[in-house]
Amino acid sequence: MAWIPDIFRRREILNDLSEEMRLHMEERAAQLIAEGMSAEEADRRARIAFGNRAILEERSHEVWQWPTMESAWADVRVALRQLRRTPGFTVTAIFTLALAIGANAVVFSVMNAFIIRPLNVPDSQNLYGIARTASNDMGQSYPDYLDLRDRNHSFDDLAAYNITEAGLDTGNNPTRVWIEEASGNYFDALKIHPYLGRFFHAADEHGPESAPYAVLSYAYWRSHFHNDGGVIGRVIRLNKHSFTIVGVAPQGFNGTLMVFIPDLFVPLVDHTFFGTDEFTDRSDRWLFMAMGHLKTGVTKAQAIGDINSIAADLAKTYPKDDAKTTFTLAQPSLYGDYVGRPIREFLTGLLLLSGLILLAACANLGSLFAARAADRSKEVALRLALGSSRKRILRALFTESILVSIAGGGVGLAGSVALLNGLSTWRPISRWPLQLNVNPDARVYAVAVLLALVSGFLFGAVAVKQVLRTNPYEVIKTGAGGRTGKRLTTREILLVTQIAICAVLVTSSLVAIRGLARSLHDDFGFDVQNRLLIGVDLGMAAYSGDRVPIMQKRMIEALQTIPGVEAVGLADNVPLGDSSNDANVFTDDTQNLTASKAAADATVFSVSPEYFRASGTILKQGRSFTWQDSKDAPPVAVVNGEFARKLFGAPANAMGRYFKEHDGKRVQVVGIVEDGKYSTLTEDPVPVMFLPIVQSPSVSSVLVVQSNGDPLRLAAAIRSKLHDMDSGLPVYIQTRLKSLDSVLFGPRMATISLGVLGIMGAMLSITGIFGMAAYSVSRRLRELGIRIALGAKRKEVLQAALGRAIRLLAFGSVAGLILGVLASRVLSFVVYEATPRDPLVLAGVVLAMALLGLVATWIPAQRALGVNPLVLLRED
Amino acid sequence: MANNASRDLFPGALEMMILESLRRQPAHGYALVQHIQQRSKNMLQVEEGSLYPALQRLLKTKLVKAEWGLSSTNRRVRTYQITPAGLRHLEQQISSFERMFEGITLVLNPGKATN
Repeated sequence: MAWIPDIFRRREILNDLSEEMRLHMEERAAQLIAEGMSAEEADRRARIAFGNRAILEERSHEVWQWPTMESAWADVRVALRQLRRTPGFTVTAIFTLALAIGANAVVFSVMNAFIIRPLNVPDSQNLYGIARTASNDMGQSYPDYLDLRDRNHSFDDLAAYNITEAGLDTGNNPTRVWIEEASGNYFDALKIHPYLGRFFHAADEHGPESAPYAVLSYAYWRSHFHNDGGVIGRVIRLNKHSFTIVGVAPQGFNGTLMVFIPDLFVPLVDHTFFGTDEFTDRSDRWLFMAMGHLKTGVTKAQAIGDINSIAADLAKTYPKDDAKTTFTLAQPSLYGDYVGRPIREFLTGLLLLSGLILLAACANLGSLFAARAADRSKEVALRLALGSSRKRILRALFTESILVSIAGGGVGLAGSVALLNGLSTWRPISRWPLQLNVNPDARVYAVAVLLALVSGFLFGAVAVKQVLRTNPYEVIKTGAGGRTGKRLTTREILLVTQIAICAVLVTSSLVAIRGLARSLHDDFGFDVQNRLLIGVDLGMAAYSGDRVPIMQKRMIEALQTIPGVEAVGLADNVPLGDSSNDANVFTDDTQNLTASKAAADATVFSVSPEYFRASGTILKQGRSFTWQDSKDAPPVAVVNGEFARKLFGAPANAMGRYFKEHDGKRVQVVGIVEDGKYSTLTEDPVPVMFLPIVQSPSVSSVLVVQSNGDPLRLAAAIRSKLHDMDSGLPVYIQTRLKSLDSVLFGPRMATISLGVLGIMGAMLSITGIFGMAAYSVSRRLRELGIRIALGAKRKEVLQAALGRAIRLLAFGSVAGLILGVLASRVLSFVVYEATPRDPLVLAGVVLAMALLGLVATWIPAQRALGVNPLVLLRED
Repeated sequence: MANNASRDLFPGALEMMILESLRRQPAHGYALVQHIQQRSKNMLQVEEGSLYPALQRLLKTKLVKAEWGLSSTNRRVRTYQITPAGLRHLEQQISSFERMFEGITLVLNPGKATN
């Protein structure tokens, strides 16, 4: 690239030249004058002797004109022509690289969004949350928070917040919203300024329930208040309590927790409207996080020392609640290491994997280009013989690979941008306000372009070796002859590894898909067909005490009157739902009711009499509840098989027997239901007891409706019925199947990513095998031609041409299949019922690999069979 | 361009002669022309100016380097000097030229060569 400084030096060079030519003529003229010629004549003669100065000057200039630029352009045109001549090759190469670059761009973009890009608050690198060293979480009780806030010497200010769901009523359409309950100093500590109106401040807080102010998030203001600047001062109702909208948060500020997008912010001191937690209870760590900016000049280590001296003091003063407490500082955006570490590890793994994919793609493209160079070895040899420099030929080859890499990079980047934009608007679990802000930025584009260029050089370099070895004399004499050794080359080992990895991925993705498909039709212990869940948190409409069971019974009765409804049940929580409660249970003869003596830690659901029928849970023995199982009636329970086994040895023994709750209350088992899944699909059997909702009441209510057709058709009728009963009650309706989104999220993601990786692996293997087969065919074209001329059969020709590629494929596939079967055991932790011992999976893998081989070798095989010995021999 | 003498030279000949002259001693353009004409006993009628494109090519490929200075006659001149790369290049050129010349001679005088 020495021509780059030349460009800038050109004016100087040309001036020098002009001056030099003038001096030359002057000197010649002076010489002639000295020999006695007149000045005029001498000048004329000097000019004649010199020649046409203008033309000579121009020819000198040409030397310095951008020849590299111009010949580079010529190279590009030639390369484009060459690439157009072989569209199959070009498309394969571009597509392979596009996949690899796209995968890397996506992974890097996600990494960028989660780890590299800072939080969207000022001075974010100096913002730290307080984490507990023992449990890695960041929860705090309110009294501990106040102590930390008031006694530390390290933070500018310490803010705290909590996340919860609330019922929002702006007039006549109550909805559920996700709110961030923030301490009064929250916005000031984060140093952000409102988009509209004002924020609430520490000065607004005067004890519990004292600051009825709400701040809307920018996104929620846009989507639900239609950019109306007049919302400031409007009164809304949250869980039936009046709040005044005082401001709108700035665009792009979604709290400090990545992925989580709150709808609005309310003061923490109003928490009693939203939860039952106590401001004075030091053991109840309901605050989600406390965080703040370190004071200037305070190091992280100093700050940790500071808060730990407070922790030591707290542990001494409140040994019951704060014993052995130690703190550390952590990034607030991913909830410290609690979420951050697994995400970092996962992303690093992904980055490594996508890097490997790119390397494999480069290796494959390298062999594709090598095959191409071999095809053109005669052309190359001829050009070398005619005096073209090797450098020049290499430049032409590199131009081709760089063009392919730019095209591949462009396509890959475009694809990944589309994918990332999709991901950014995707809500993986519809119930929760989770959003992945993974929009690509300049950094992502730069990385993609850089990767594309580097890969272009990498795979271009493979072909270079070949050209450097080309001896024009030999090539023209003998043709691109075939060394066909038994020795495995590095390229072949790489290819086998690739095929094996591809087979592993294909195996495990098939296992995952089969597992997922099976688990969707599995026995969850309830039925998902024709079932609706209606979430009605009575707390959101300020129901309490005796009004709760009355309303619950009324709702059940009202829904039963809707045509198309077969059964209606009600539960405080449902299995595989958002949350569940658990309690220690004891055998009837246990006297000392401490946790260590418990017979089981049982999951508890409070349900209405019709619940089992409505949810499709099979009652194996005994009876369900009735409304007669009231508060005054003897306590009863329906348990599952596992509970019966744990407490009574066997389900057969359980009926009519008693067990004890932690308060000593004796409960009689009146029915036994089938085992099911309660919090995850892969869990071990869990002991579960169902209690009558009247005997253990709860404001949280989920109605389970069984319909006689498409359940969503009933949604409107249900909504209006409930609205008639209480227009201020937010209602959330979804099908039972949809409600499984969150538990199916992991297995689905695993299946999708394995599927994507499997497809990528397959693509890479195809290009790899294709490259190698094409290479071997083109190297041995003459030999094949001779064989055909001598009467070889098609089978023999194919065997000669592709035998090695097929053997490598078979070897790699078998190795991969075995490894895949082993690896799938790991998979069964994520995907329920994932098992490789499935004839369909094994057949699928074999079929997939065979198909892959067929696709990859089709074109080379056609070429080998289509060899016309006459043409070939004539060419030589 | 009736008497473009350099067109009668084979490509690279002028550069070769320049390099050879410079190997003996650094010189400026005018002196180079004088030298070549004298040494060839005026058999090569090199158009004086055609030296300069050749010199530019040599400069660009870094086979020579140039510096402004004063000549022995106290004129402002740009003096060219051969670089190590130039020396190597010159040797290659000369040896390949000699071989070519030998070949041509053999073709032109077949009788002499075989005996």
